[in-house]
Amino acid sequence: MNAIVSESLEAPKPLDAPQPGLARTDFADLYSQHSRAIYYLALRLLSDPQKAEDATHDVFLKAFRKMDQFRGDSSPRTWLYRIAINHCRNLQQTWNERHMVTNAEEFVFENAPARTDSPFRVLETKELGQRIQRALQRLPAEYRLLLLLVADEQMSYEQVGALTDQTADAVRGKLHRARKAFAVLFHQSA
Amino acid sequence: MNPQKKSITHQQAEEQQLSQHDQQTQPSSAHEFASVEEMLRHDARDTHVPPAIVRRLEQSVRQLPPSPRRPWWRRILGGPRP
Repeated sequence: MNAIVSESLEAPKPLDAPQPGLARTDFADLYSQHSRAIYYLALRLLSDPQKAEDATHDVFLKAFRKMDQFRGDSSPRTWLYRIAINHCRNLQQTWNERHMVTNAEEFVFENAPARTDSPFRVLETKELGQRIQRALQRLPAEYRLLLLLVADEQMSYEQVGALTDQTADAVRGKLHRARKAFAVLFHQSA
Repeated sequence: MNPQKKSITHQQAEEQQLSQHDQQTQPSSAHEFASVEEMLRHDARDTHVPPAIVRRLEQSVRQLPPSPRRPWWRRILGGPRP
């Protein structure tokens, strides 16, 4: 964590005071290393580029204000994901009804033929984002979040479990169902 | 400037423009992904972060009110803010 909070004890740098510019601070490194992951998570959770832009801004602003409280118990990526997940959950609570997945849809996933072992063929990668979004939107919120976090190569099952309040084994178990449900919905979205 | 050299340069420029145009008009190639995660990683790599975010952040950071500083030992050991 010293890379981010690189304050010297003798000459402390006021991180919570206005800075002359992000490019000259450690915060700039934090942003450049993790902004894509945070923006992508927000984009796919909120299904709206403008909302994702606002959320990414808000997440990094919160991170900036809390940088002196970050003690390195988790990786910076995990820390930022936690802020982003909480932020997106708060936003989603206001329009939760639209994104609720009915039990009927979950029944469809469970009874659909398993296609998780077959590859995903996409003819037009230009439409890939839209198809992924359509499939994710119809997934239960927990499956959606698990798939997005596990797809990040920097995240271990243990870290994903810590972020979603469950064990790594529970993550593994749910992932199987999440992949299957996603595959069903993705192939339907063609 | 040598007229022959100029002509070659002009031809190269035209070819470059055509190539760029082809790249823009041709449909993107087909892809096959072995897993959901692989597909999501590809999608994430293709997703560009809007440059407006960093500009907004710079502005927001400048507008933050200065908050009372905690002593260095409290920042390291934790504890309530003053």
